Amino acid sequence: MDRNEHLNKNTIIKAVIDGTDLSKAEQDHLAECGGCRSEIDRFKSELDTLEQKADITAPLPTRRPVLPEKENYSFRLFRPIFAAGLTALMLVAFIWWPNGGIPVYEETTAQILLEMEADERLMTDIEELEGIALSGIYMDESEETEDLMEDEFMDFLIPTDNGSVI
Amino acid sequence: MSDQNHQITILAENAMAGNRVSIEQLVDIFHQDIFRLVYYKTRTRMDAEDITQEIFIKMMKNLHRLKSPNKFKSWLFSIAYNHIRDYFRKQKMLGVFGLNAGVKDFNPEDQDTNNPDEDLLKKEFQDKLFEFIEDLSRWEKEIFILRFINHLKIREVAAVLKKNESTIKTHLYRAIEKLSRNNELRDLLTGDAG
Repeated sequence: MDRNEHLNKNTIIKAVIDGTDLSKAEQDHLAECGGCRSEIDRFKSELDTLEQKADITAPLPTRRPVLPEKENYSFRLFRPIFAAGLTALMLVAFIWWPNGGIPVYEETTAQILLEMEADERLMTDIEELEGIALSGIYMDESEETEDLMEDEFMDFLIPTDNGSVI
Repeated sequence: MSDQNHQITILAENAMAGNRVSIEQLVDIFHQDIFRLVYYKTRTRMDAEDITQEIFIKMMKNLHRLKSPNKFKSWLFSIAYNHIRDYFRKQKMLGVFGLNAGVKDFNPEDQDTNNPDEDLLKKEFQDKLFEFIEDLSRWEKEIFILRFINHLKIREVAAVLKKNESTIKTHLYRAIEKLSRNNELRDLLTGDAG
């Protein structure tokens, strides 16, 4: 740009927005040219008037914003810290707890032997029950032996004269 | 940092710590600015009042998210800007279902004074200004309002809209260039009208 050449409209607008954006030659010209400076001032003054008028013509609010009751801001501030702490604690527990805190039942030899004995007892009971319909307790209460039961039963089925079994 | 900016920073710090008085003071400082921003976007006082109320409630609820108290002003305007954008999206959605009448026209009763001549001049200026703003592109509009209606600095506008300063300057340049060609509005500014 020629030093003596006046700033064009586009450069004037650029200067209005931010004078530091002008090139060195434009700034040099502006420093010496009163005409261009007054053009910029006139434009700036118009924009200032626009700002003032926009303020004046806008209505004023009739009511002030009403804010809700106070909340627990301190907790809000510390909530992320609290959440982070809790997560860290759970992570540590997960790492340190055997099997990640999941319960696992380990069978020892003694436990296995006990279970085998219990199983054996159960099988014995089952076998006894298969042989005698009534358990030992009921047999004692009836005060009758297995043999007598059989004789009487046979006599009932095939009665004899003297009552003896054939 | 200017005295006012310093004061706002301290108030913002206290507000973040839950100080109710500081929160209320911040509302007092920015109430009119936010209302004006909303009013120039919605063009009705009623909606502007309701939206302003919602913006300050949002501000209060989100204070813990404010990272730099010295950027409180930009942060608050960002909340306002996003809230207004949501409002228009909602209006648009309602419009699709025929549930609203779209953007309301300017209501002259919003600003009646006891002086009819003054009211007429105000209305004329505002009509021309709204007309001019309406003709701007989306970003030119947003930036023009923040810069000249809300008096934000270019740096602050960039922070509110999350754009770099040179982008802001480019859009601002286009908006001012359009203004330079709008003789009707310029006549009202220079007092040559009529």
